Amino acid sequence: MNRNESRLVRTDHLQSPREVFRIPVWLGGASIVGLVSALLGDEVWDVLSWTTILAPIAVVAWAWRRRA
Amino acid sequence: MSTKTWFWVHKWSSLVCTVFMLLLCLTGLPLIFSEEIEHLTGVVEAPPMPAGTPNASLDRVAQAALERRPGEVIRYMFWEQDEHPDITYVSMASAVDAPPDESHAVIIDSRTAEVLDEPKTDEGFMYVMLKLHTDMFAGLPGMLFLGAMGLLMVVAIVSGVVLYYPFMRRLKFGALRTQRSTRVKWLDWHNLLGIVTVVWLVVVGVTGTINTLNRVVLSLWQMDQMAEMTAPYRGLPPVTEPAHLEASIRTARAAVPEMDVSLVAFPGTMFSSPHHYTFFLKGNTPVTSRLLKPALVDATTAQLTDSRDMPWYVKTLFLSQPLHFGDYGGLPLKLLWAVLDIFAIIVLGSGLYLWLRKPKVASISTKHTDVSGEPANALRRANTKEAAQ
Repeated sequence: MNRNESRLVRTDHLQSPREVFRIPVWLGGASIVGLVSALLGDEVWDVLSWTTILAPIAVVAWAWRRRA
Repeated sequence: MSTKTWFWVHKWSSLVCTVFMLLLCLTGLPLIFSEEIEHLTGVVEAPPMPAGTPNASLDRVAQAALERRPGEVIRYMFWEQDEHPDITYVSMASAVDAPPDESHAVIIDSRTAEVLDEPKTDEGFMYVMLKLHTDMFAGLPGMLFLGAMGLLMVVAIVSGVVLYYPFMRRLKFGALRTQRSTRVKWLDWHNLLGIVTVVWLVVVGVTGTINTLNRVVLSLWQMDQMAEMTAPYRGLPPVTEPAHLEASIRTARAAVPEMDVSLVAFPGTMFSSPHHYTFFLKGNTPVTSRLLKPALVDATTAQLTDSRDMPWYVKTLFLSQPLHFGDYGGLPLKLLWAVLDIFAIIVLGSGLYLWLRKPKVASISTKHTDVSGEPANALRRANTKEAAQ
């Protein structure tokens, strides 16, 4: 494997659970907000739902763009 | 539990349910858009009439259905106020106690009591998708089996989250190594798509499992609250001369004035008692439109017997429906639902691939120090660490 890939995907230390799960927990939280908010009302609640549920999808698009 | 045990749990829970989950994800994809597909394929519409045209008496509507299918009985009538405000849907069968699946639909114009259509409800692409998705054409056992597979998927997800940690300790979030082996590429996709869809897939899986229990929940409600409300009628002979339907629906509307009637179950059907019309009313917010409230109207006198909020277990079932279908936040939410469903398909497919192409431990070069993403290695390291403690 080349140096470029290493810099993009590898961490320089062994991560703690807190570090590994930091982003997944945020995305999970966003998903919960999105799943519930569209139940609570229409219009602004729907928009909140769309944007928060979009978060995990947007993250995948971001990871794909910077793939090694 | 050791990583090795978690790995075993993840492998077997996934292997057992993967084929069924793939079936559910694939058939579920068109079902997300069933409303839209229905519109495109030309469902019958009520002809335009001046706004405010009054509705015909519900007795005339019932009469029209009975004349259209002589010898049959009406079991249910329902309305879709938002989508088709001028249409009454009538579900008929050869007898009140015919199998639940038997349903002959008659669509009637609520204003003129004229029959608009008699659509076939048990054929076509969407029907096959729905049947495969709910019970695989195997009735109640098939439905409960799929529910159990849903629970197994939750086990697979939980164990997958636990395993995410040893695999990712040396990798940044979102790492996708596409330049190395096909296996590493799919491993990274599996980990990334798996971890970002965790919450959504658990919610869709659990609510799907709850939905498979709908008949169980319904009989529970029948034995519990329904039996309580209709206790004075126990042992009475079944209704022979039913009261006027129109008078009965007016009673139900007066009893719960802030809600709209969305369904009426006729006496003797699964959703009613032998002596009552049971009207189910819905509110007009995303939540209250799902939490139907029953109003029992004596089918002989057209007087109200009782109207109570549903018990918690029926409410849970009702709220599980939107959370499984994704039909409560407009088309954008459905599109997001579809993307997440496709992500789930990729997680399932890549998981299957990773199992089929698992590396032979011996073939992994020991001098290759930079294979932290490889499961065998991550596992071996975790095991060594545990052994050292």
